[in-house]
Amino acid sequence: MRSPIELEFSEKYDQQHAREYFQKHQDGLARRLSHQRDEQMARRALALAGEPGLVLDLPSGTGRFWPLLAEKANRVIIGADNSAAMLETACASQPPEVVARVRPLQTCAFAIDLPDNAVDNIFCMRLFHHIGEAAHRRAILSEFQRVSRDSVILSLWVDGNFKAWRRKKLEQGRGARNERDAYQNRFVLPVETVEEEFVSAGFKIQERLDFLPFYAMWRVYLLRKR
Amino acid sequence: MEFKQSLAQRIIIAFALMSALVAGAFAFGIVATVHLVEERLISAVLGGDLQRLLRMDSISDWSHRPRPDQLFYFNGGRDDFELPKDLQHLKRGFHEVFRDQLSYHAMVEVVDGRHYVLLQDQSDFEERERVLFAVVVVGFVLSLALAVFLGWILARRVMAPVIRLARQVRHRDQLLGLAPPLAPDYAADEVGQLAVAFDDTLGRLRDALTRERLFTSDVSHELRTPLMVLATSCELLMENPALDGRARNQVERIARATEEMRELVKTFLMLARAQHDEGAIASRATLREVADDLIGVWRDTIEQKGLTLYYDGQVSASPVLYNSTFLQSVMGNLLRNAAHYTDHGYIRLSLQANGFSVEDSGVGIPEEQREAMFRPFVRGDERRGEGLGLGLSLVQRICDDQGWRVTLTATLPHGCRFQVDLNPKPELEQQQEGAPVH
Repeated sequence: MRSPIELEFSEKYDQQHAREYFQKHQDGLARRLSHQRDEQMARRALALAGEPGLVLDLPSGTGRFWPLLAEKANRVIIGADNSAAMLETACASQPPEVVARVRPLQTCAFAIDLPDNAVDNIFCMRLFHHIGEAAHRRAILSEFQRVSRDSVILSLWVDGNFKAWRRKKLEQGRGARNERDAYQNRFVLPVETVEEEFVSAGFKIQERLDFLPFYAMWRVYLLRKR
Repeated sequence: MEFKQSLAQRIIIAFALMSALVAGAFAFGIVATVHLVEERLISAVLGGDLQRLLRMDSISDWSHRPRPDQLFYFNGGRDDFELPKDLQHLKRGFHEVFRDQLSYHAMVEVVDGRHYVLLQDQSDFEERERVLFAVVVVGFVLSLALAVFLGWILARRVMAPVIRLARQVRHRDQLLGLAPPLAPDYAADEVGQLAVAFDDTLGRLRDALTRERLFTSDVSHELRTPLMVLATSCELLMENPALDGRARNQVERIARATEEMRELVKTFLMLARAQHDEGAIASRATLREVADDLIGVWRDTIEQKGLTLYYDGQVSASPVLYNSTFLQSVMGNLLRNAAHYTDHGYIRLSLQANGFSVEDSGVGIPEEQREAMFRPFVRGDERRGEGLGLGLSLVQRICDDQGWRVTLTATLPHGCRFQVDLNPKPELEQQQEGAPVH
């Protein structure tokens, strides 16, 4: 299945970029700490979701969360990404015993190549802040609603915190200085908007986990299928 | 018994009721005991005091206040001893008397028709009693709250595996072999047994489906060779000049039947092999080509039966290519069905932009049976001729497989109309139409 929607940012993920991306999450104390907090939130979300047995990790990127997902002994992990290069890098860079547990699947989030109700949980880290358009988000969410049997865990940037406020300030300043400044591929989404989108896509919001409440933009949502 | 509440709610309600019952009984017991003690003890003490007064040698020893918190009255007493009106109606024995702000215990003795009354101030006691009752009420409410809380905790603890299992088997219409077994996640208790049972059943279902698919695939595959032999033999026979006209007709019929059978086997094989890349290899044709083909095959049969065959194929010439085996099978089965169940009148095949319909003036199908018609081995009321009733179910299966839609409606005055929609718009695509393509 080819998706009719191609996003600009999805083209940048070639081999080189994938390797850089993998490196990016490896060095620096701050990054390591932030990764630990990411994992902590993900673990909590998975526990609240009832330790799903069949998880679709989409997009899996370089498999940053595969070791975490593999912590549950009999969990089956489908590692999906739109970019074959990313998947290759993931399979090459993650520990072999973890990679052995993962079934790679190259698919697009807009048209997931799986039947209805195929997985227990869709684990979608750091995708939604790339999706600026409501129509695209709706398309992805309705795919999630179709493919997931029970729950969805996703992370995104929300407003209503210090970082979002500062980002807005900076952007306003930058916008005034330079109109055509860098193509923006990351978006802060208003809480009400996304939550309304979740509900209208047929999900119930079970839990909201903040990276650092009132400071950071990252928030993990645990959604249940109604 | 049927319950509207969830299991957890039921546990909480049971806990609350239970504690309401127990705490209520205790509260009642406390209140009753206090009353009993009050009456017994105080009446004994007060009675003793009164007796002591009465046994005194001289009236002059009596005082209006024998003790600081006591008052003494009697009938015909002078000054302070005069029995007040509100005490006159009291009978012999122990009473509680309320005067203005104060409350008293009263002991009444009647000697020679004369009332002697000893009052004792019990405001302190009453105050303590009030505190005690308040404590009882608060305790009752607290124990109720505690019970609800404990019930909630327990419901969460005990029910958590059940709730989780229920969630895990919800929407389990997917039989993806990938899904890991449920049982290892649970302790070996009743819930664990349930999980094992689910695993077992799902596993068997999966096996059965796989077996069915393999069987169909194998059978279809094995049938291909003998059918090929039949077909080539027919061809060779036709070449034989010694054959007379009648024999030639028979051979033609055999050849036609063989061809039909081969198509059917091919259809089954394709359906059995779920992999859709199979479809890419399969021959593809437009709706028009398939319809022209089939009309050629069926015209004779239908017209020999005395029916009129209308073919509205001119209207459209859609260039879309479909899987020709499946399309042929669907259309052929619908035509066969129409021909089979129609004795008088007409059969009409109409092509549309993205679909077609087959209409007949046959016996028709009653509304309540229309759903069932698409199930395997179900046939119309009129049991006639050969056939297992697999035709329409095959149509349905192909349509499901290809994402087509077949609907059955009645025509007037009688007969039925099968509409096949080759391009029904899924919900998703409609939603995505608004999305721009980068």
